[in-house]
Amino acid sequence: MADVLLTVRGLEVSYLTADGPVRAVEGVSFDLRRGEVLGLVGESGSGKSTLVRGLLRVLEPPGAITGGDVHFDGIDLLAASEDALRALRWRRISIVPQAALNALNPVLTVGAQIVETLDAHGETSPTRARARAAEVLELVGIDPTHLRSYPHELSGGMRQRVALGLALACGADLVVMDEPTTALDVVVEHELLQRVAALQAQRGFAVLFITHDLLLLDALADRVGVLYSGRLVEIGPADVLARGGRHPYTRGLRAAIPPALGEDRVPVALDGSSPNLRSPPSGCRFHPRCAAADAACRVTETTRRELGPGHLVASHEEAP
Amino acid sequence: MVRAAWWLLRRLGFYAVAAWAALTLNFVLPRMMPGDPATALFGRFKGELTPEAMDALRATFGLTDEPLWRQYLGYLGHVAQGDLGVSLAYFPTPTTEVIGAGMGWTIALAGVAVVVAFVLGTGLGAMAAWRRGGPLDTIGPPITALLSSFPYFWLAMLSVYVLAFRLDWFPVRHAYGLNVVPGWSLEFVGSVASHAILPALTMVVASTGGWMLAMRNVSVGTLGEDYVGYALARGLSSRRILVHYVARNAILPNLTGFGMALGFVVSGALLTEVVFSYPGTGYLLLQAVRSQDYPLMQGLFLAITLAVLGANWLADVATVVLDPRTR
Repeated sequence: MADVLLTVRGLEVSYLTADGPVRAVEGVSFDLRRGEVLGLVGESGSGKSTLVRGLLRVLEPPGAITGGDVHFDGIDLLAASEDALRALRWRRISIVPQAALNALNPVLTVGAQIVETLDAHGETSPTRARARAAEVLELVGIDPTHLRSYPHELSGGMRQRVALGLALACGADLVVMDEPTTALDVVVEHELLQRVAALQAQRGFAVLFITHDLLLLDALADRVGVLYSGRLVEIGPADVLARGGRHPYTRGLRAAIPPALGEDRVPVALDGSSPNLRSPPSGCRFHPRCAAADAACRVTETTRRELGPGHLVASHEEAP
Repeated sequence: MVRAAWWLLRRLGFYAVAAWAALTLNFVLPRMMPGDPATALFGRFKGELTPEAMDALRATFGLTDEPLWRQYLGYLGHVAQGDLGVSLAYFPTPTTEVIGAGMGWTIALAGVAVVVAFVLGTGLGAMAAWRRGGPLDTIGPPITALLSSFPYFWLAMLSVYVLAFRLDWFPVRHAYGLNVVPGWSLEFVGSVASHAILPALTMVVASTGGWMLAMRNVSVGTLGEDYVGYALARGLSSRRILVHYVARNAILPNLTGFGMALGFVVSGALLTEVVFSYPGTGYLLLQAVRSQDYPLMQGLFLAITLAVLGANWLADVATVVLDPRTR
């Protein structure tokens, strides 16, 4: 397919520990098309951030990619040299980090950090770089006078917007958003998401949006993938998953969301917690927490089945 | 900016109080000690002085029978005018002149050595952390540990014996050759430089390692910060990340230590100056103690105190300049 931007096949990321490798991400495969918004949802420890760091090759030791392959626009990311990666980073793939306060250098001004990024990607004229840095801030609704502000002088919402602007500064085709709203209150979060949606519609970049908030993806994403214990248990069109999803875990996540006004149901929390990856459960990893689990679930691993166009589920459960 | 200026001003106030406390101690201590400089000087002349001369000496040293508070005020007044009395060992040169001459040599020698050691050690430390487990990081710390576990005076004496005395590569003592005339001539400057190289080298060798280890350890922590990973993801060059992200942030905790070291230059060069017979303040302090030159000792203690306070304030200023979060 010509319009596929990112292809991930059987990606495996492990943390190399003294007791042997711990597989944090295993057998993850998906495609991301140009201009598409793909949401990846999962609870803490499901491997969301590890997955993203792995496919962008910014993983810190002892983390390492132990299998699979990742292609970005025909380029093999896992085989690319450091120089090739540096040329690719930001110009083609950029990141909006989870906590911009920690991701921005505390001793450099916001403007200096935008300018140095432009400078690293071929903008040689300091005057033009400064003018473009001002445009970047205006794009995300921040007064260009803040070019001279330091990160700690901005509010949390402004910092995340600076990070968003920075991610768009070099016209990347793919913007990876790693829980960009986690540190924000709901009002500011809503504001930022609307801005993301508007800019995405206007500029047409693809987004890989990582979050633990399934509800947030209903409005934003074209497709949604659900991660559980390092595996992609369900992936499908956002509207299909918005109607409930098919995997028992996806449905469990839905059921745990408190009902909106007027809805007649009680939120049900999933029992138990994410499995310990050092000694994962046998068979289907979700079986200890699954209401529909039977003896077979304990023994055999699940395989992915296609239930509808682009809708894949890894579960033993037959269609209800 | 205004807040930073206020903060610096407040620090300056604090240092002023500390300086006043040091001045007061300097006044009180000799008066609590047995004997006085006038008697000591009187004794030196082995009865060749008349009792009238003794009274004159006492007046010179400010040892009058006036009430203590008047003496104290008089003392403060003299200090404010830069009058610290007359040196005994270099009688009748005023103490300030003696100290001033020594201070010039010490600051030129030890000041430069401390700055070089700090810059070198900090740079090496950042590079060792950047390539963790690399050659520099593997070889650096053991060599450092070895060099810094030698007693400094031993290292200095060994280098004088081997490099200056045996091999005759460097002059053995003094700040410049006895046959050159002090002045801004090429010959004099060359002589000063050749005399300074060996003592400066031993100081740099002895202290670079400490700065390197401190910088390496802070840098390793800084490398784990989100902003370093994010800078990498933004495709910034390694050089830029090392200098502006790692070193720039990791140097902040080391600035205070640098300020202290710079302040103690005035006294800390004692061993170097003694071993190399270098005419700086450390050497003067030894002379003062040997010849019971109380005014000179007092003056030197005061100079050391002021230097430490001044250097600390400079470190405060540097912190404000380098870390926008303190503004």
